[in-house]
Amino acid sequence: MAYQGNPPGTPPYGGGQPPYQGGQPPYGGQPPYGGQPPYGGQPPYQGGPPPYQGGNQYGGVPSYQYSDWIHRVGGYLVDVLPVIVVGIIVSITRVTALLAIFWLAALGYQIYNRWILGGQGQSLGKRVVGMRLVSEETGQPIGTLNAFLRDICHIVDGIICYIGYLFPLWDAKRQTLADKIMKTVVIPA
Amino acid sequence: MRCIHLLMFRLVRSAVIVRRAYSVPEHITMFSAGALAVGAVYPTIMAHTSGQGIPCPLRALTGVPCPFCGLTTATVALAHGQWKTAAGTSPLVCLIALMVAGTVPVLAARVAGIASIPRPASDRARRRITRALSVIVALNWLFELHRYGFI
Repeated sequence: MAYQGNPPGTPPYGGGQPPYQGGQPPYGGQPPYGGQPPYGGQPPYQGGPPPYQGGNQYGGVPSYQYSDWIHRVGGYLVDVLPVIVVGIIVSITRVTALLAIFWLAALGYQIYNRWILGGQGQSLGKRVVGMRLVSEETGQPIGTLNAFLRDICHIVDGIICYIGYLFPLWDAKRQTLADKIMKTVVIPA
Repeated sequence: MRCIHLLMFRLVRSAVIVRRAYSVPEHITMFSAGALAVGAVYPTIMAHTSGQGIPCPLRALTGVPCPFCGLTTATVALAHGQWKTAAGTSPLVCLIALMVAGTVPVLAARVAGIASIPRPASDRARRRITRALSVIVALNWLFELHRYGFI
């Protein structure tokens, strides 16, 4: 049986942003996310975001509504492959000026990628693979600064023999340790 | 021959193209298959590179092994059929290998479309499994600490 969307009875999560439903109280009148308007004056998000309510994550929401580990690896490879390929070519040429330009370009690329990852929820790799990085509390992109902080948090993933990067294989929300620290999830776009 | 081609096509398509839901042991099994494949060629790769392997950052920084130290060595040993070496390096890898061996038929059934989508485990079951795995990882850490002469 192929996975062709959400099973009956589960909220739509794989299809990107859940719809904003005006003033309807979600889930029988529960207050939405503490009532604070996210991102400068927007009304509180009151749609039906399934996984980030802190409730019964394991019994109720199937974990395949989050992006798989292999898709995340695919997105990461798409992000880093251009740098690696160009780096190898530049290294072969052994031209110092070219190498300096490459390092600057690689730094710029990395910053740009983090900028769009935080702002739009998608780095270039995530866009190619079809994933979004969002806050598990608001369902919105986490912002550029938090995207950089998340990168720093990846140190925790690496410190224990890089096992933190494998956490999406078994974690219910498919989060790495950095995701858990930053309260982010990666979902199909 | 045409039937075999069709079956192969279906298997590859279902495994690669169709986004299918797999259970946690199946995810780990798929990853382990990849790890074993890499482990099989790892010595060859190391022979053509620096030969340093993948260092554990915690051990490199502090000298203390982490609970998962020895995974690479044990996986390479397993890929070459050296069970004793693997068990002597990381018993955790041997436990994972046993789990993988038991999961392969289920995974094959899932990929072939015979088995249905797995049901998520209950909160209670998750807590029990997490507790059990925590104990196993802690024991493996004690083993690694002993292996590196800390206890």
